Amino acid sequence: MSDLVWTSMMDLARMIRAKEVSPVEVTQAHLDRIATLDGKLRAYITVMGDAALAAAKSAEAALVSSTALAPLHGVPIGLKDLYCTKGVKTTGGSKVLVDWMPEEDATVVSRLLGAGAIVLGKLNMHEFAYGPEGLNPHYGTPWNPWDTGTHRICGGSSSGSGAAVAAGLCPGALGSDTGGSIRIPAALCGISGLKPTYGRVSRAGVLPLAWSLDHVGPMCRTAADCALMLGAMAGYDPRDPTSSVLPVPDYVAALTGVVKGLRIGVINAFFMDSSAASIRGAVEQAIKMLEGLGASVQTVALDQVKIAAGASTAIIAAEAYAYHEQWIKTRAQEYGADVRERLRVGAFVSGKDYVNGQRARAILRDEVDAALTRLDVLLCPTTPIAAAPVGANEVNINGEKHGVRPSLIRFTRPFNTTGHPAASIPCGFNEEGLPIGLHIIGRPFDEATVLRVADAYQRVTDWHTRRPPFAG
Amino acid sequence: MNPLTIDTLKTLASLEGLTLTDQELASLLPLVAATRAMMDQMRDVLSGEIEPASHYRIL
Repeated sequence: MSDLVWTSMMDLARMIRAKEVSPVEVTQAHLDRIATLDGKLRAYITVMGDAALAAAKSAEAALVSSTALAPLHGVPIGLKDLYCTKGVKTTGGSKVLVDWMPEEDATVVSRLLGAGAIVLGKLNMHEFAYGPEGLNPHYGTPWNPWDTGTHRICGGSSSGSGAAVAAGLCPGALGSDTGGSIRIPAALCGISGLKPTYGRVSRAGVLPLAWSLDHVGPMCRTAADCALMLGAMAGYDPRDPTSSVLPVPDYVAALTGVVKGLRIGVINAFFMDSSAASIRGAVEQAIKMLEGLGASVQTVALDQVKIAAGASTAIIAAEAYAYHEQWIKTRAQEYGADVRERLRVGAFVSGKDYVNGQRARAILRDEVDAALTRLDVLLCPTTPIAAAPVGANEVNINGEKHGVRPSLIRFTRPFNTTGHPAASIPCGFNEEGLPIGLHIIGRPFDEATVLRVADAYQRVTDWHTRRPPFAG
Repeated sequence: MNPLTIDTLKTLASLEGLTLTDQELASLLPLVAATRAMMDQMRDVLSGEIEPASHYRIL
C-alpha cells in the first residue's frame, strides 16, 4: 500500500511543488486504492479515473512549464454527488437524477479546479442529503471503515465523503451540511470537517436540501487540510445572492498552534449531560487538554436550544418539499422509502409553521451570538452517540433508549439554524473502537479561530492520525 | 390542537394535490404528528415582536 494515500493535502501539495512526487503517482495511488476497497466501502457513486489521470498528466506537465502553482496543484479530491459537474453525472444519491449531466460546474467545483485540485470522482450520500445516517438504497450504504465485521453507518448525509477520507480513498472531499451532514460523518468516521458560516462559501450549482440552511464545506483528515481547502473555496459569488462580500482571510496562516488566552465555553446540560458516557469522557479530556495549552474554560448554557428541533424541522420540511414537489407527485416510487416519506411530511407544514421556524431561528441566533461576545469558541460533543449498525433505529444512551436519527442531529442542527461556523475533529474512541467527535463552534465568519483551536489540538494529539482497520 | 387523523391527513393531502394510498397515509400519520409536536415546542418562546431571520446576516 502506498503511503501517498495517507499523506495530508498540505504535504502532498508541498511534495508536488518540490517535485518529490508526481501528481500522476498520487492520483494513481488513490485510484488503485478505490479499485481495491470501494467494492465493499461504497464510498463512490462515480469514479472519474480517466479524467483524473488526464488532469494529473496536465498537472505534471505544468510543473515543468509553470513557476506559479496554485495551492492545490495536483492534489486529488472527491466531491459529494450533489455538486454539479459539467458533463459528469450528478445523481444527488437518487435514481431520480440517475442520468443527469449538468451543463456547468458548481462554483465551488470551479474554484477547486482553479486551485489545481484533481477530481477523483463523485461520492455517495444519503439520497438528496435528507438523512443523518448516510444510508442509500440505490447505490449501497457506505460502510464505516472503523468496523470490518459489522456494517455500521458512516453518518450523513455526506457518508461517502466520510468513508473515503477515513479509508484513504481521497485526502479531502466536499461535503454539505443542512443539519449536521459534514460534522456527523466527520465524527463517526474519525476525520475533520468544517461547516463554514452561512454565506462564506457559494451554494451555486449545489443541489439544495433547504436553501436557507445548506452549507458547503471541506472534509479532510486534518484541520490544516480543511483550512487549505476552505481558502480555495470561500468568497463572494454573484451566482449565489446569499454569499458574503467579506474578504477571505488566509486560513492556513491563522494556524499558529497557540490557544493561550482563548476563552472556551463548554455547552453543558443539553449537550454534555445527554451524551454517552464514553463520549462525554473523551470531550472532557479534550477540554482539559486545551486548558492545559493555556485556554480558559467556563461552562455556558444555551437554554433556547430546545426549540432548534422544531425550527429546523419546519424549515427543512417546507423548503425540501418546495424543491421536490413536482418529482414527489409524479415520480414518488423512484425515491427510497425513508426520503419519500420525509419529503411528503413537508406537504403538511403550513406557512405559519415555516415563518415561526424562521422566527425561532432569530432567537437561537441571538442566544449563540450573546454567548460568543464573552467567549471565543463553544465546545461540546459533535454527536451523543458513535456509529450505530445499519438498520438500528434505537440506541441506548446511559440506560435510556433514544432514536438514532434524532440523536445524530441533536447537537449539530442548532448551528445550521443559527449559521455559525462549526467543526468536528476526532478526540478519541469509545469502548468498541469507534471514533468520537469534538464539536467547535465559533463567531460568524471567524472560521480562522475555529480552525486554529482544531489545529492546536491536533498538534498535541494523534487521534486524527489513526488508521481504521478496514483500511488495512 | 385537535389530534390528527387519517381522514384529516387525506383531506390535507388532497388539497395539496398529493395522491396517497390509505397505507401511505397510515405510515405518514405518526411522522406528521411528531413533526407538529416538535413545531409546537416553539410556541412558548415566540412573542409578537420577533421577526423571522431567513438568513444569518449577509455581509
